[in-house]
Amino acid sequence: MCITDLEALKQAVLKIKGLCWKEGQQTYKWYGRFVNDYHGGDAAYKNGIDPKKYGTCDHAITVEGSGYEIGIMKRTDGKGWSPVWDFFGTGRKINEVVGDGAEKLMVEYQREYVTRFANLENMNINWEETKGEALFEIEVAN
Amino acid sequence: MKKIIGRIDKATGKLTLETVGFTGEACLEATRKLREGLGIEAEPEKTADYYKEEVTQEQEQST
Repeated sequence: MCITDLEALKQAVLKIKGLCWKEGQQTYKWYGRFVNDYHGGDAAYKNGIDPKKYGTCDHAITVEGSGYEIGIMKRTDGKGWSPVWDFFGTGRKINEVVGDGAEKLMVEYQREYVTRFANLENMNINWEETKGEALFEIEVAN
Repeated sequence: MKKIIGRIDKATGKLTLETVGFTGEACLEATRKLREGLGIEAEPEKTADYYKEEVTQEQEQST
């Protein structure tokens, strides 16, 4: 997940029950040391995050019911930020709230991002919800 | 009316975009800012509308 608009992310966090944005918090709670025990494709170290930097962030998100937190870390490719968390132990609660791959957070972020984009560009946007999808139409002036 | 239509899959978070009323490169340009802002790196799938302008040019050349 690549975040380029922190304002949209903050609004997305407000929409998900149990999450709380912590502006400027520079560390997030996790196990505390990298034990080199996870090597899946979504492992932070495989996505441009240096293990030496685990536990540090630019902002954080607390998750009700979890002793760990989500860190919002700057991406090494310079494209924005990514959410990072430790999903072992008490971190499993984070997965329950935002999704294993942050899918729920991504849906809300994209919803906010697209709406903000249309408003900034003075374009009309209409949303329609179905059980499985959030659909939008942006009217583009000629 | 030209439109950008998007679908966000609530289960996967995957966002797909399409355009209505655009042809040629304008199809891609219409969604470029959105794709960049959302960090969508996958190459957009080109529909028949993308090729409409090129087909017209080829027809003009052959006449």
